[in-house]
Amino acid sequence: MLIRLLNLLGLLGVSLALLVAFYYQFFQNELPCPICLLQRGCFVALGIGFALNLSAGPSRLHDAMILVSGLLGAGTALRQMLVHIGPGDAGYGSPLLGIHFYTWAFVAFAGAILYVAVLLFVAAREDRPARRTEGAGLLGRLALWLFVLVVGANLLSTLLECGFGACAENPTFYEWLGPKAA
Amino acid sequence: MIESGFRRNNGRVSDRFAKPMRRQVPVAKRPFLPFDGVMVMILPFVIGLLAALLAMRGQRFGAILAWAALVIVLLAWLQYHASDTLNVSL
Repeated sequence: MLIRLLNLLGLLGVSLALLVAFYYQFFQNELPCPICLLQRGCFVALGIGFALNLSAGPSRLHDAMILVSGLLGAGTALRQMLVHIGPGDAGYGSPLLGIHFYTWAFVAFAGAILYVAVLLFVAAREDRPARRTEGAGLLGRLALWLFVLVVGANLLSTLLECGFGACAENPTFYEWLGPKAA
Repeated sequence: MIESGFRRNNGRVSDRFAKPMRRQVPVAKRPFLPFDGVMVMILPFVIGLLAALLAMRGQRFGAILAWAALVIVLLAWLQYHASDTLNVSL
């Protein structure tokens, strides 16, 4: 029971992180750079592990998927932190509570890695079977739908920003809307 | 316009006027990517949406395969975009 709640919270946390990024993109008009989009992709990969734990039952393989996604995301965020770490560098985008989003992303991915340790610890204590088939439950299904919608919205917004090609290194307008629309 | 290093002579290609081909010098050094020039930024999200839909439906094997493809694409895209030289001493 506790493990299902933890996976539900994990999936909601991933959706929340992507929604906060969306808020800054559409209401503060801050377009994500390509590396920022890759960090969003890593959040999506992270969420798939939680989603599988909810829909197909908890498994060490799903936990390992969360772990790998967290490491990949942390590495990507760390790369961007190192680009902007020099003195006098204003960073990319506006900060949230004094910290830039890529640094928040690094904290979130590191937190996800720690979260997997908690999941494994709880799983060991619950002495659960390898897989359960009791379904995700109403809240779980809602969280899964929210996650799918947020991933779909990310696909559409990236299509709007980059079209079917590569994204600008420092985007200032949506490719499909033109320079005036941003 | 130089066409494959040969000048045309009355419509016929003659090796009398053959010139050595100009060596192609890369304009900018790009990291290796097997499909360089076909960079599609939406691809991770297309695969991610597929994986999320499969995970939601409980199709474990398909979701895991799609997740693996997503991780590979994210790694390749990171290598493509992380091209700046870092001004740090590690």
